[in-house]
Amino acid sequence: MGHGEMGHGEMGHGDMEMAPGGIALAEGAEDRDGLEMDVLTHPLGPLLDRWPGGLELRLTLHGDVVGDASAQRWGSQERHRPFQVVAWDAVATTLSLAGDERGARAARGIRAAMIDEVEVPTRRAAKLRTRVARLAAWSVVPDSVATTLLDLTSDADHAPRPTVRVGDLVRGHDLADVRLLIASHSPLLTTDEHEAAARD
Amino acid sequence: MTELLQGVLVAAGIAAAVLALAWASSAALAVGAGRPAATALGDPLLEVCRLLRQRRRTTVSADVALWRLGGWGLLPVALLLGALVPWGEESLVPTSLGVVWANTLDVLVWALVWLLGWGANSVAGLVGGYRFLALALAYELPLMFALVAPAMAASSLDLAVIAGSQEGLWYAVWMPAAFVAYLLGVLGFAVRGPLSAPAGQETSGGVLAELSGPDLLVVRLGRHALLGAGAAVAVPLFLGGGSGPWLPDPMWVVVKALVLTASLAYLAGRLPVLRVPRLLEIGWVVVLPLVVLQDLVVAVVVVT
Repeated sequence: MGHGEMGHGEMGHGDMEMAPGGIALAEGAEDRDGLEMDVLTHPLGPLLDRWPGGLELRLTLHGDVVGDASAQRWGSQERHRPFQVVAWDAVATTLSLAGDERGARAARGIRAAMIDEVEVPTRRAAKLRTRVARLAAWSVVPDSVATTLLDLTSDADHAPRPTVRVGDLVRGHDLADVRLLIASHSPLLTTDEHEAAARD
Repeated sequence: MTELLQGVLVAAGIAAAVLALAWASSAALAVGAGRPAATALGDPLLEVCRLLRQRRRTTVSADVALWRLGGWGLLPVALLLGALVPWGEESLVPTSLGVVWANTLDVLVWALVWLLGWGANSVAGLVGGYRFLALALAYELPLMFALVAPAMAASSLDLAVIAGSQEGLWYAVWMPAAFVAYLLGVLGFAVRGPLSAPAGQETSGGVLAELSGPDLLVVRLGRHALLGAGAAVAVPLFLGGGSGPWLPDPMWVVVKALVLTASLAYLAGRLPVLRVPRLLEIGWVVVLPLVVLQDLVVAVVVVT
């Protein structure tokens, strides 16, 4: 084999491999926990099942851990649902994500009763709240998910709850926990833009 | 010639039985998750029609060959498991090492599910695939030790011999820990119920995330068939095989397998998905020592 041939064969090879299929190869990022991993950008939303409508999340993943996240909202967020309805919606979505379809169905029932303004089955609501607490005890969902849900659905009078910024909420968490966190905190979520707009 | 014909008929019968078990699994799972029984029974047919007509979705630079291999391989594994079960006097595949083959087949599922996650070239799939490997670590070792118990008690690796040696007392009764660990393993390789994290909704379906059309159909069918076939293998292992009054042996195997499949799938439908780190803890700290202890008890009983 001639010298020139070899050089020819290798030419352009590097360029091609940098973006197979038009997608740039993942690159390493600053070491996060002693285990350097490739960084991937992974979008979630704005249209996704069991997900707050219009919320778009761009995650920077280190393996399956969220290194960074930016969020934005599409469309108007003007919805005049009573807070408790939104709260039970969050319970239903979270339970469904955690694979507890029966619990999710019961939560949707309570939500429907609130929308129809018929008598809310308080005993069923209490039972469901115990169920949520038990899921955390079995670490089916992270603790913060359960405490938030229990707080949202509690009857006690509250000072207005502080809003949670999406990016701060999910940073540092496992990809699998992201959707549980978003679902459970959905009544409290605010995107960075909104916060900025409110300040102006 | 007649022998060949007979073999083909038996094979067709086993395939039909595994499909029936898959149907039972699908229906019982839906009922467990709270769907009305009448709809749950009809759902599989509607889903087959829907998915056969659905157009295939592809991802950029998907590893199509390995992706398809992973997806379409699950059902054959379930059918082979069915062929190992001694439905009558003996199994379709003449082997005296049925227990070993069953174990080999369930380890094959590791590769298939992982390839399913890998092939799609998507984040959700890859995360799901790796989660399955972590989960497999949690269920496989207890499962292997669970298989040891009945084999030891019967002093044989032949499923037919094991089934025949349970005169009077089923192994499930005096080896409850091994039985439970085995069923946990079945849920694991069928990726169902508490062990379905690799295909969990919270990762947008994980290994299933990018599947569509016929590919999704065979994977769903394969998972249900694996659950059914795993339960069918448990019949000779733990439930006395075809022994029982009134009915002929093969009927008893079918009835037991159906009941076990339906109960297991119903339970899987009721239970939430456990997170993988938690499963490792349960698998290695609780189940594994219990099963090893079970093996010790069986060994002592056999020797004395």
